[in-house]
Amino acid sequence: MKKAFLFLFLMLPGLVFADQLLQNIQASITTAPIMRGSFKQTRVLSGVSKQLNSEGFFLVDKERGILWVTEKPIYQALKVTPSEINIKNKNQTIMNINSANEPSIRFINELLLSIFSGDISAIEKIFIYQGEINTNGWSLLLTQKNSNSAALGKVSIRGKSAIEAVSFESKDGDLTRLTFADVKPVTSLTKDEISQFQ
Amino acid sequence: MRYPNFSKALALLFTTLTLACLVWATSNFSFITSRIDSNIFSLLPKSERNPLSEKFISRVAKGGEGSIVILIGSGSIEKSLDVEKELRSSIATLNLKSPEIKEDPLRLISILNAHKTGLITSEDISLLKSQSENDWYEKSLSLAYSMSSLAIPWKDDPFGLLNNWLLKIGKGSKVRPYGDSLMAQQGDKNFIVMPLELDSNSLSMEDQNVIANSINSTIKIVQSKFPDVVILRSGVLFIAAATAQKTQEDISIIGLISTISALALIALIFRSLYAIAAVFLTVSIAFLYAVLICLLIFPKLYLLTLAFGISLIGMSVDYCLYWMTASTGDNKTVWERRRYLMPGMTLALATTAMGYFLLAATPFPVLSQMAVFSISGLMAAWLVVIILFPYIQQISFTENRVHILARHIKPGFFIPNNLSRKVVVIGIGLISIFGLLFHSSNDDVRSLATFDSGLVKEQLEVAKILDIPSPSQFFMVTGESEEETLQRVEGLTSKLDELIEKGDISGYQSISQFVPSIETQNKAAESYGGANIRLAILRVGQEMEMPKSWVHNTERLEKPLTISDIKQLPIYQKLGYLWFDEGQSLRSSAVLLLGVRGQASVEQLSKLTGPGVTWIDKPQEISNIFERYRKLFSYIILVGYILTFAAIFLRYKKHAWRAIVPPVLASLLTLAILTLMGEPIGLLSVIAFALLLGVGTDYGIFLLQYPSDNRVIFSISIGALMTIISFGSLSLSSVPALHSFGITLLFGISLSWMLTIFFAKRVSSGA
Repeated sequence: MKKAFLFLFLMLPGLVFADQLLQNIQASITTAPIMRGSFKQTRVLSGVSKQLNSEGFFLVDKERGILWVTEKPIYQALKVTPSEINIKNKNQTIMNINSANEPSIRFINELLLSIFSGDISAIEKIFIYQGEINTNGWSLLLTQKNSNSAALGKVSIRGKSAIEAVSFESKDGDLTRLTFADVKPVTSLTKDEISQFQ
Repeated sequence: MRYPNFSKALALLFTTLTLACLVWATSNFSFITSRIDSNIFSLLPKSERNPLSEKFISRVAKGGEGSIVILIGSGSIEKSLDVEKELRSSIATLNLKSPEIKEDPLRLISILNAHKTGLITSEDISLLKSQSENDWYEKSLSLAYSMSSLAIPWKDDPFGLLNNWLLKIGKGSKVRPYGDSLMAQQGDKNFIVMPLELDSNSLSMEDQNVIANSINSTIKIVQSKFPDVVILRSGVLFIAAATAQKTQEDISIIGLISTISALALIALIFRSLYAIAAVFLTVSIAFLYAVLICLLIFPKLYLLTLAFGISLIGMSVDYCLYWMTASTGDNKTVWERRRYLMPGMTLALATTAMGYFLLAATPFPVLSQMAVFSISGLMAAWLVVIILFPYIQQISFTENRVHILARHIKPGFFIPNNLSRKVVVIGIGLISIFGLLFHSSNDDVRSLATFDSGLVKEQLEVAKILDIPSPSQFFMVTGESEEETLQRVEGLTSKLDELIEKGDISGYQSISQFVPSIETQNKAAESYGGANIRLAILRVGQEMEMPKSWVHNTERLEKPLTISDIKQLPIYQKLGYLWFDEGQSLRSSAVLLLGVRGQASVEQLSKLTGPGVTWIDKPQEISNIFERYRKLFSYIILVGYILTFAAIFLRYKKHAWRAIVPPVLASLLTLAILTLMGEPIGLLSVIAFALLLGVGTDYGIFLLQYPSDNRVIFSISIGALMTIISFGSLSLSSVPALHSFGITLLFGISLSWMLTIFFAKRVSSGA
């Protein structure tokens, strides 16, 4: 009995350490129900030599989901809600995946929300993580738990009081790098923004 | 004295054979128990019409036999995951494993990629026809600049067409990985999915039952720890275990009641341990031969046969009784007695066996086995009495009070007055007509076994959540070639799409969802080959700085995908059970349905047949067989009565009716009683009536054969009581078929016995 107790006690620091990382990151991030920011994206697609640069803004609303609007060089809006993923350009729907067809949408949404809203606890459900935190900020390297089904390869996230950069690689080797600026809490959405979530 | 010498040799031979059988049976006891089959699938009859559908069902059954699914649902995923962990650790010691998910998505995608211009959804085909070059150009750029990567790299699928096609296929499975676990959604509810598999296919039925019970009790414990979590089980294993347990309980209860009452009755009448020993000997030898002959003829011994076989106790005791009552206060020699009893007993065996032969003639393996079991047991009992009893000196008894009491049972059955007899006869007639006109019938396949209704409900719920198609109602599509079959499947599925719109079904599974017909793929390729797409490819290539070879490759129309292209892939293990290509040129495919709404929808579905398209409704098919045999046997019984009457008439002339009318009226009265009790008449009730023809006429024949022997009434009365006890206890069975067989004979034999005595010729001597 005593031995078992001792064993448990010895185990504790390790446990605290693993949990502590996410908690500390969590504590350093400013979060709010709605966040807004601008992004710059660079993509390198496998088999395509041209580097694709784009920029725009994003909105993360814990209730509604994520709105990701690319303004340059082309316009398009990516919407991720608990029920669907939708990409539209000015005159047509490019892609629409309904959660009734694709149940994993809900988890993609959860993951993106957790990354962009700084609610990092959701990460450990899907990812194995490692990382560090110091005065210059924090960084995390994530790998998906179930490698068989992973759409994503490695994901790395870097930030300070807000998320600053994310990069991820798809299974086929498509590389996407995002950097963020002006990430701030917003008190309410504009009418136009609300209608975009509909 | 040559006769007894021959008999002696025969008795010696029979004894030796029986002892040899006994020695073999005891030394091979574990072999015999290993052949006992409690599998419910083996109770179903083979299809008479469509061997392919049988093949399909056995494929599904084989695959499904050892697999288990447990679903865990709760308000939060975390909680469900905790429950899963707990469950997994508690069942870790059992002979179970998680099925390997063998997937090779990269290889699948590379193969599909090589045929992609044929693999386009119908929605995209119409967009390809209607949208402009600019629309497609913008769509391609959007996909390239979008943050999300698709399953197919952009360079291989710049318009997302193959990706859409894959998404559509993906609808087929609702299970998705979530971390280390699997999960499925239904509405707002999330379920953790735990697929399990029996570790070895060679596990005995008993081992499987042990596993099922351990899982059940584990679930119970976990459930009590997490009361607000829903845990659902699915798997043949659970239902088979529950059914086996129920049948075993049945056997012990029925066996106990039968044995105790039979022994008590014998003890009461004969007041002799020898009598009990003689009965015990006869019944044991009857069972020994019944089991061994069944094992000789059938590969398996059904548990249900054993339950039914309990009735052999009462039936085989009959022959002992004839002998023992005949020996009471009798001073004939044993050989004279045997000569005296032989005709009656032989006729009785023949008529009873005839009743069981009808059972043997059904296409239901379990019913044939019951018949073989009963006939061999009865013949063995008959042989014991005829061959061995003359050598057992101790079988000779004196009369006692019970015999004196029994003397009160006289022909006329307590109603000697002519007027009241007429009233009784008219009453019987009226009640009989009521039974004949108003009985209801039931040919439900479920009468062969009672399934635990809670488990069946869980099973259905799991099937609904995971979109598991029904293996018993489906379409079988056949054509001269792969192409013709696939085209016919597509013709069918386009009609099924309409039924989905109307809500009759929620979906379907067909091989054409994965491999469309060449015709359909050519249509897709044609729409892809339009000028708008060619121009769009050119512009996208320039904008994205792609090499010329890319433009060329993207433009190229690929060869259609065929089934042989995917045969080597893991995905074919999931699909292959739908496809039949063994043998010559014929190709067939099963099309399975999801979420069939009800009987009205089933009727809609059954109308969708056409050239090469057959609707298979297994429960209906079995019910039809039940119905057909129920009707056929009703006529056979009618003919049986006429033939029996003719046979008896030849010997007993104008008194022949006294042996025939009682079982006929008893049958009709029983029909009326069952109708009043709300018991439907099924195949097994009709077979019971056939047996009643055999057993019931025996009583009359005995009374006609030995009119002046007052021991005969006594002997048939005890015999009837024995039979009533064994079938009466059978009516306590939880298996509907056994219950209705038992209850029909309980009333039938009682009434037949009473009526035989009621209509018996009154001997004026007052003996």
